[in-house]
Amino acid sequence: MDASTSPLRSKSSLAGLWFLGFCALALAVSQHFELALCADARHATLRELVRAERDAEVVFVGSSQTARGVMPALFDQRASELLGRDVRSVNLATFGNARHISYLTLEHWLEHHAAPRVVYVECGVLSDVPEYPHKTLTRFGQPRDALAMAWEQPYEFVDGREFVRFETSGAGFDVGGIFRAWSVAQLNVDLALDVLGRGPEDCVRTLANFALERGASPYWMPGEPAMRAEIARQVEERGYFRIELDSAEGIEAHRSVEKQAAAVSYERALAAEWKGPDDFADPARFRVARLYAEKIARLCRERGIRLVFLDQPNFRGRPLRPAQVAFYRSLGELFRQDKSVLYREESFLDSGHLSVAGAEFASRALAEHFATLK
Amino acid sequence: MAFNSTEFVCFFLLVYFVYWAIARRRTASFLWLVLASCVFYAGWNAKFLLLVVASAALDWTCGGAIHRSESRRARRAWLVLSLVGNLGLLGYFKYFNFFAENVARGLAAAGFEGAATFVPWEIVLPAGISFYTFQTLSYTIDIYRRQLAPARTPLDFFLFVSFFPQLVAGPIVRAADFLPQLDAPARHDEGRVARGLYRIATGLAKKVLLADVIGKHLVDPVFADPAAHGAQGVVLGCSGALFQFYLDFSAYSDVAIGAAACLGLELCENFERPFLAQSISDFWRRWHMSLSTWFRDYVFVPLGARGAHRLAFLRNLMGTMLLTGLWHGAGWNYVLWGLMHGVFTFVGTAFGAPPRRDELAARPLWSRVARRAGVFALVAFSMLFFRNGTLAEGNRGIAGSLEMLRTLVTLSPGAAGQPLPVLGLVALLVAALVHFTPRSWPHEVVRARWLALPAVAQGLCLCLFAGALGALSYAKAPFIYFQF
Repeated sequence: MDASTSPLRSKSSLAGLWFLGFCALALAVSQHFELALCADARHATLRELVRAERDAEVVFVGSSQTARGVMPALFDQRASELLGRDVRSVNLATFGNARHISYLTLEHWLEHHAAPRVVYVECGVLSDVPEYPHKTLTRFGQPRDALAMAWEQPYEFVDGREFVRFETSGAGFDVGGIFRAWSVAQLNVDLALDVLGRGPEDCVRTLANFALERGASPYWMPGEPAMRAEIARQVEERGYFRIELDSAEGIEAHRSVEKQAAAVSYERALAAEWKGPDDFADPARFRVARLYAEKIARLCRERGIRLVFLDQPNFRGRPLRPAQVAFYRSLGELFRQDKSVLYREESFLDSGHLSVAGAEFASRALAEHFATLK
Repeated sequence: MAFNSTEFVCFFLLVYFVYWAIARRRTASFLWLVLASCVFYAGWNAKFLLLVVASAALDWTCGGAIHRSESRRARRAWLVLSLVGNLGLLGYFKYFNFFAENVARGLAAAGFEGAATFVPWEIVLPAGISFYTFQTLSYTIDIYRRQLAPARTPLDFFLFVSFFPQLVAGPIVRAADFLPQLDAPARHDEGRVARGLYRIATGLAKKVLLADVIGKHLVDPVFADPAAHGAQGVVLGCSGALFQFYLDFSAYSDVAIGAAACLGLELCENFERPFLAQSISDFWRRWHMSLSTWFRDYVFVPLGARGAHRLAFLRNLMGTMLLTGLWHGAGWNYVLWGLMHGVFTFVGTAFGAPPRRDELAARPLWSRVARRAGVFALVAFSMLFFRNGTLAEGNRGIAGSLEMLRTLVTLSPGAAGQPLPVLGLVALLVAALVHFTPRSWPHEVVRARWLALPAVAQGLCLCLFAGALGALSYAKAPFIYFQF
């Protein structure tokens, strides 16, 4: 190999180095303008909400538990009755998203509106699971998060089909846990690299979205919903869409409630306390849930907004860990829904989401809680 | 570690720069490539790295012993040890449950009640076992035939077995092609590296822009519910599946060949525009060539090839095609698929030797077009069995294949109101245009323009290309041939 063939001097190697340089630049641009926010279809809906002209006194953020479980019109009606004046709320919760999305959504809302008086932020068993953010984490992680991920290795599970196929179940042959340790390290490094590698993707996606939207928006617009006609009918009739318990989808969904009801009795579920490791404060776990809760708390503090964490239950599921309760109370107030009502079968559509009846009760209960806030 | 991931991009850049920095030191650079290959494989399952090492150790020992042995008996004994060891591992991991289940079913049918309660063992298929097993087998067989000298060092041999671009899904490299390259001094050939990069990019584009789109928007819905799509849907679904498999697998081969080229090594080609084939035997000379030539050299020819009479040819051909089918997976779908190809090939060639390429090219255009269409239709029809045997969602094995066959034969119109899979059809059309376009365009024109760009423009193009692929492949669908 002579001097002219030195890898750093060859054209292809220089192209590789330029590639890395452009990727780093794209990452910096993407992080600065938070371009990853426009990657998901659901933000197109959120965009409409956050750009709505009217301000709101109360804002809800969270996942589908809150999206399905809080009805703003009902909340407004009940709160207005109790306070003797008009109250307006907006529900910014979106399906399938964890707290990092809540933070970014709230931040965008505040950019376009006056600060609300109260923000309700969903917490609970479903919104705080440690492995949940795998799919979306890399869209919202910062480079420093990537480094922490590679070093602290907080994630332990992979949901890819391919991984399941090649991974043995049970203890199996694993001398000193070395193979499992390798898999976990590989997963976390993979996620960290995904965070660092997202720059070009976010930039290209944003440009494409702008082109498709004729310069109007960086958001990817969603396709036609599968149940478009049904949604239109319900919205026309009553102003919102919900899956009814007696519809085909409702009957299918309700099977998980029936199964859980057979496994855990009403009395046992009401009396349940957290069993298992109280590891919410562990720095290597629940990092994302805690990190973004703290960011939301900081945002609210800066704007003088009252922060309430909302414990939206899943059907007769496990209660909050003591460390979870302590953590949320250290940042704001914690409102826990009345499970003695919600643990009835008709209150849930499926084991994770309230039915219309459950949401009506939960919305009124929230309004009553809001009315007590000074 | 999938080729279509950020992880692989970072991994490959690191391997590339370190390798060329130490390429003057033979042992150190080979050790680096072996280490990189181990990390690459451990991304799938670290445990099964031990299996790769065991398989390589067995064949290194057997290959050396065969070479040193003078007596024919000893040579044969070492070869048998290699065959039993390699095929034993492959048989256990890939075929045990299939054969045990079928034996149990047969015994249960014969009245042995205990056999009906057989529960399949929990056996995980190690990634790439079919590929590296065949690769190491060819090494010992070639030494036995005195066509190959053993590798100079165990490190050379382990690099041949584990070289990461081809470890998990081929091409199935022959030692006679690979080992001599290790003996030559490493030379950074700018032209070869640039072509390698281009090949990687085109492979990823094929996978993400065409194969995955055809699979998701055209093939998956049809195979999940053939009755609803009707006969025309089944025809489109099978044609789409054939293109999807070709694009997906040839994309993997492109990335593997391109990555190896960047590291100064050459891997054999695996595809040569298979849908230009004018007969089934011509098709097999263009499709998964590293596997078809392996079966030709190590199974079909030793069995007697065309033999003295047609029955011997039929026996040898059907045996080879049956094994080709089983190589892809342990299931009746693959058995049937292999046998179908055996029958197609036999009917096409039993009454005379298969025509040579130049003879085929000299035929009139209408004849060439009709023959190509016929070959495509037959192979697409066989996908009805092949695709239903894979791990793709919605597959129902033989039952699903028979349902599709019924839909096709009865010319079922399907359910009303089925949406037209526009995106899948557009991707299929683009794939067909690219495949049938003369090779000089777009491949060579685009490649020449790429090579003419300055480094900074190449870097920017690669960055935009990576961004576009990332935006379009959020799901990061795995390559299909990993499962074989």
